[in-house]
Amino acid sequence: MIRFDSVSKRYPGGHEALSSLSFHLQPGEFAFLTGHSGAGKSTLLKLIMLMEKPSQGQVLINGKNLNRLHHSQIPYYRRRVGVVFQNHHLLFDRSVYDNVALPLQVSGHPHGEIPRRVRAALDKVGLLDRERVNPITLSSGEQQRVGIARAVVHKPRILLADEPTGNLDPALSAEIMTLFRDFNQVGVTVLIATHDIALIAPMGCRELHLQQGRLVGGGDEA
Amino acid sequence: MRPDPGNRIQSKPRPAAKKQAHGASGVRARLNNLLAGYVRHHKETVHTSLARLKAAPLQSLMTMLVIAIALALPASLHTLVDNLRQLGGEVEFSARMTVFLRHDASQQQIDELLVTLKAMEDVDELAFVSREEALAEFSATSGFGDVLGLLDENPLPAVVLLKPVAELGGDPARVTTLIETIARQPQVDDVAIDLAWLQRLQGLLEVGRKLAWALGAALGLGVLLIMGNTIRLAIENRRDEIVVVKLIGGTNGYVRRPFLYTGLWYGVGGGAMAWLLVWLAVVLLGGTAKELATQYQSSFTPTGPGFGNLVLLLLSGGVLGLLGAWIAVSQYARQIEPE
Repeated sequence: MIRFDSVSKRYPGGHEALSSLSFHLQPGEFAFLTGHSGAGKSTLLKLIMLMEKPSQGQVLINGKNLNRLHHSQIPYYRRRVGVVFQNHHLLFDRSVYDNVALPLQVSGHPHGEIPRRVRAALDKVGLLDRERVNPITLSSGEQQRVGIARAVVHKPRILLADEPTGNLDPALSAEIMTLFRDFNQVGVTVLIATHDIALIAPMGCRELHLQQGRLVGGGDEA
Repeated sequence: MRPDPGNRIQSKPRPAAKKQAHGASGVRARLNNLLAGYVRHHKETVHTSLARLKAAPLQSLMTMLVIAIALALPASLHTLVDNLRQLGGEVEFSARMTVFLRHDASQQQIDELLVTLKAMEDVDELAFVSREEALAEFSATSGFGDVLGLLDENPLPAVVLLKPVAELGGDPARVTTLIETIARQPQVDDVAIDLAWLQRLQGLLEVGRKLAWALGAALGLGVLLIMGNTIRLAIENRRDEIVVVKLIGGTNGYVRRPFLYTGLWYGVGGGAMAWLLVWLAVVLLGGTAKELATQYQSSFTPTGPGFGNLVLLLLSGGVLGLLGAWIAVSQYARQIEPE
């Protein structure tokens, strides 16, 4: 589902964020991406989101080489991927409901279907009763859950998360992880970047460990 | 092989059979769906962009007023030229054309000519002055009556005094045509009309008209710049939203649309306000101008910017607003990429 083929990313100025990275995530796999800050976790996710292009090598998503994707095709590609951000990127000029509905509106979903889907996603993250409030009034755990609802409302096949539990206490973090687990169980390929080793150890999942841009654990042979 | 992760997050199971379409009808259904989504986004954008303008009424009105002033200047010059042309036409045709007839024209030929002239649609009124009447009038008014008595023959020609219809005012080409037509009549020796000052006025009005267009072009460019800057600020204010929309798969078109509509509303609003400004100026100044005209025995009444001008102002405002927004959006919104 997600395949990296000797991917390197060098930023202007010479800093090499990723060097010759290769791995393959099967459809429906659940994996963590670990490493110190600066190890290249965010760069890796950005490559999958096409926010960056690799300097060398190729990224294949569901067999499609992202290098060959035309610029105009990027939006349509992104609609098939859900992303949860550490700073959740919520819009504070509209309600929780409108935030979650945004991916459906952007992709031109039939109008009648939107409320049902939005409420189902909010129900799943336990915020159905908060759909009318402005997300700025929510706690950071709740905001993160709104971000998750927005990431899954359009039923992506791939779910990425960048430090989704960054600002949360352990109990809330565990709750969020359970949510990701649930999505994975219905077939979504999940890749979560985190440095919270204590949280992921008991889950027994694949762990891609990055060190200074190199994959040092969790590769395909491991 | 596509998994359906949504099943778990839905409160009710989805009737799968209903959604699955195959073959040509499926493609058509999906195309219809896409088109419906596109149309829907346009409708929503119309609604939300208007709501945004309403949310900041003072700012919106001020932007529109700036555009209105820029558009009102050439528009009022245009209206002024129109009014002067109308005034010029009226003054011109209070004077008449003089048609001199040939000495050898018989009375029958003259009668025929009068019938022909009367039938011309550009001729309003005419009066015939025979050679004898002309002589009598000349003797009475010129003081050279005695001198004329020394001549064997009456040197004065018979004359037709002719008043063209009022619509000929401001149309020198039609006046010239009328003169040529009359001059071609066999009984006619010459046609006299003082066209020089009319042509001078027409030339002046032409300069005014061109000035209005040049001013319009320069200020139109100004409107473009104002619009570009306003939209650039609007884009800057909504940077976060643009980033999120791009991250979740919004196309450039989707990002562009609300700003284009905003530009369109500003332009159309500015155009409407420009028309109101010109109309107001005509109402305020019209009374004085009419009073002045009355003192010169003229029935001239200034006319305001008409419906045609309203359409023109709305159209040019709309186009300029849209174009300015387009320039800003294509320059700035494209640069905003998620980081």
